Amino acid sequence: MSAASLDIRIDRKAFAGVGGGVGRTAIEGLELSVPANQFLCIVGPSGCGKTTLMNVIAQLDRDVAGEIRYSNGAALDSVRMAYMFQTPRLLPWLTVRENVRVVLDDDAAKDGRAEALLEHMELGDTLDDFPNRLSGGMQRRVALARAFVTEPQLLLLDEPFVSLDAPVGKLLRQMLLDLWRARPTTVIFVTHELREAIYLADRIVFLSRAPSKVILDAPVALARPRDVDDPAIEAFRQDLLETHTSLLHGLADEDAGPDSQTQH
Amino acid sequence: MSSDIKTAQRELNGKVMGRPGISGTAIGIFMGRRKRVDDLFDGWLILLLNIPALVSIVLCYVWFGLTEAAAIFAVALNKFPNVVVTLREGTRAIDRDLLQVAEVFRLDRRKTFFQFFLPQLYPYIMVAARSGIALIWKIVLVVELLGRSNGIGFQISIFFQLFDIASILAYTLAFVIVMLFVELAFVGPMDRHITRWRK
Repeated sequence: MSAASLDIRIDRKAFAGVGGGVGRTAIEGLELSVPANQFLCIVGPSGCGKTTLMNVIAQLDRDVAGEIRYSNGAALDSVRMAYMFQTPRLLPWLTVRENVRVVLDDDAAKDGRAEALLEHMELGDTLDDFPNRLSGGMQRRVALARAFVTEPQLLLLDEPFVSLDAPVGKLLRQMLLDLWRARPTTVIFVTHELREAIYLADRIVFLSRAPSKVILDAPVALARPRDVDDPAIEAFRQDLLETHTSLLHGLADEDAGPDSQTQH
Repeated sequence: MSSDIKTAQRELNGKVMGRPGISGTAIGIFMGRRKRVDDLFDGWLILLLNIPALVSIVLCYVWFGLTEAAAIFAVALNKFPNVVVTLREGTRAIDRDLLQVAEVFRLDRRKTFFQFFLPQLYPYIMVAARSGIALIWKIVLVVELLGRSNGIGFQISIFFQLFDIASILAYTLAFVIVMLFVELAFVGPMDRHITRWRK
């Protein structure tokens, strides 16, 4: 099956307050369409409900007023989905190889595609190691391999490269783009780093503070392959911030560039 | 020595080790996962936990007769609530983040249970097994003392009448050696195997 295209409409997503008190509204009146094979970045300030939105799209959170519809009419549960979380979420009791294989069905697990992908991502020497022996960057590479190995029709990534040092973050972004180019699919990538978003995305959607909704939808027309240090990226960023100063106010001061990220 | 063997047989009897172990694990998981099941059984669990072993043993003998089956059942009844409590605690501590991974990738229930859920419970299962083995052997002696005509418990009651301390200690030592063997040969290696990733 080909990559998924989807229409997201969230009228309201709220969390109940403690003891039935007044809750917190995370998302309100958010509408978003994502065409097939698009690399979409969602940018918003910390705590604006980005992770909540991803969990709704992934159907991990079904307690929501709204609807996710796949445009090709596919049933929600039939779309092959992969999700890379903020932390790697590898199973510590499985080896690297097993961690990637575990998401495949039995036949696919035996045909060596997990190993081939891990080799390709320069993890061939660690196939039989347990994840806690690996560095943070390598653990994320394993998580990235696990996300790609099923050839997902929709790939969700929620700030997957935070708290990595600069060269490792750069390498991982590079790997993500290489994999995506080799196996095109619809990608929704959440970040609070504008520069990272411009480097990666076909299109950037900006969310407001909670309750979040779309405040700006900007296509990124830069040619690929891109270079992180290309002045065009910085120029694009400056241009965006200047054109929409009031709209994006508060975003820029949290944006110190993709390679100096800190965990929130 | 035949008393030792008889006692060890009772201790390691499948009905003593296996049934309360497996059913206790299953009920513990259920109680940890479902609030309603927890509410339903919580009172009974506290009750079972706090009935003195002596009371449940005497009642079993009175109700079911002075039989081997009654003895075995009495031991199982004493171990069961400990397994439930331990596994319920383990289930409550399950890391839901990992279960979400299985959910997103739409893994089937079997895989989710055996690869994502059960391994998180292994430490608790090992605790239940270790403390269970220790508890069972204490209960087995009381059961033998009260209503069996063989086994260490029965022997000890005779030595007690004779005030024969040396024999009491000899029997104890012999049994401790048997239990050490069980730990070193089975429980320890199993524990090391399932936690090898921690190193």
